[in-house]
Amino acid sequence: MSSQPSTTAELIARYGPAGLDIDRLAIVSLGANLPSRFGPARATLARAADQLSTLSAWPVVLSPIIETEPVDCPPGSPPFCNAVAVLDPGESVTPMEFLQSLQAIEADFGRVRSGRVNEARVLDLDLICFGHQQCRTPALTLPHPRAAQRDFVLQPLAVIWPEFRLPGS
Amino acid sequence: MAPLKNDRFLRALTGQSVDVTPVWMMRQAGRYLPEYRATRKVAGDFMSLCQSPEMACEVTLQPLRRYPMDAAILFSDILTIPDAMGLGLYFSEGEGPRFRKTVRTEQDVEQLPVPDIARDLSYVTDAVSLIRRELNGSVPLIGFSGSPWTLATYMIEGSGSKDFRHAKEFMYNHPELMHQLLDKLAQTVTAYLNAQIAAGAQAVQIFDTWGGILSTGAYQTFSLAYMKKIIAGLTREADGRKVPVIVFTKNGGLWLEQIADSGAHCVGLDWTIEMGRARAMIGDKVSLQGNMDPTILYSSPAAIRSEVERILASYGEGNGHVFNLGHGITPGVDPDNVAVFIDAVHELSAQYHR
Repeated sequence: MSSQPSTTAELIARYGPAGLDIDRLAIVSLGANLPSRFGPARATLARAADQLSTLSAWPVVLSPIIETEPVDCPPGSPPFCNAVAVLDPGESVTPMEFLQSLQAIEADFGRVRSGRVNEARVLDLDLICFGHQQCRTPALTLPHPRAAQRDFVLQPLAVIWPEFRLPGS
Repeated sequence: MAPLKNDRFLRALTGQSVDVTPVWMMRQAGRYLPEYRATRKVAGDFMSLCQSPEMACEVTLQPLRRYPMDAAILFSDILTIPDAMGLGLYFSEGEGPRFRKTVRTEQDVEQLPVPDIARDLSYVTDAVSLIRRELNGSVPLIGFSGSPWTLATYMIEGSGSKDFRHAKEFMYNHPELMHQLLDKLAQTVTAYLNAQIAAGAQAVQIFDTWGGILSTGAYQTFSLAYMKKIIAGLTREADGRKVPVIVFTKNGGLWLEQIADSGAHCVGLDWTIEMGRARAMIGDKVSLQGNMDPTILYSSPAAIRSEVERILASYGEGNGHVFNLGHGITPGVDPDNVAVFIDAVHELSAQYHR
């Protein structure tokens, strides 16, 4: 509805003076290829971005949506729509709490985790980065271990936040 | 300025036809939303949140990202005016608003400056302009102020109060001084609301939160009279469209006919009066806003829907109803229940607008 900042630089310029902390920004990658109750994958991503705004202290920066051929997927999978969002989870949220909120959104959109790797799905929200935090637990690895190899993450991220470098890289 | 895409709210306020009953909630940008709590925490304290146009704009828009509400309301506080008069507003954790100085003597009233809105309250008008721009015509923007009587109670007490002893004592012992204070406040509120309208507010609401603590007679003299005065001085049209005025006196159900004669386009109702009865009394003169008990939002989706249905049925067919709560939404409400509430109003009201 409102004019969202189109780049992270714009977000920081607008809300930095008000208290936004660049070192706290989280990056979420959004992906979908099956239709959901909100319509085709593209519409699903737009609705998912609205939901992400409920986890953010400020407007969410959303990249353009790109379409990609499926990588390492079961044969016959439809093409993927992908985007990246940058947001500020606020001061008191932990990475695990944030991850659980993302999974709650996925579940609400009708995702059933079958356990198959890279299966077709109605919505996939991956936590790529949470500030500068680095961790490696069975439930969560930060930054996301395969982010650096994924063009469908790096490419949209370069559009909205070209200055960003993955922590530890 | 972008043309208005959804004007249900403005149409209903002036009694025009709508497809479904418009709905918004008092205090819809509030603590029940986790994203509000996150922004509030980053802001540090409540006043910093109010005084930053960017932050005020952000929290104003947050509920609209979740729910298809038919209006946005400026995020601010009614006590910005006494603060601009030099009383020093602050919020202590868990205790609500407080003032560093109070107004208790003739000297206090006489020395009270009339604020220059453009200088002392520009953070509010800047927020209004910014929100209006960011809304981009999606829904109309409501501006607001506290009523003179309500502002006076806080200024005299120095905080909220259970019995308003000092405010009432001041009123009974020094009625002329009280009138002098209320007059100063009415002038300021008029200028304040007109400045909000000039900055982009498309409707305004006067919150008379404490009018209902007065006796019959005192209410008319010390509260309603000053709201009338304000309404008479408000800008009537902006962008070629009427700017409707809503008057909301909490616990004002006993005086509805007189409130309806105040010049307001719409009368806000708390939950103590039956909607159909209010309509029968004053529905030919004004539109009505309200009036679900906000506490129902703690109950089940089924109970929320049935209460919405009950109020819609009580109002009945036809125009002139803006759905709202009878008071502000409270911090502990589950945001999912708000979605149930808003959807129920739109879905269940269509049958009353055929």
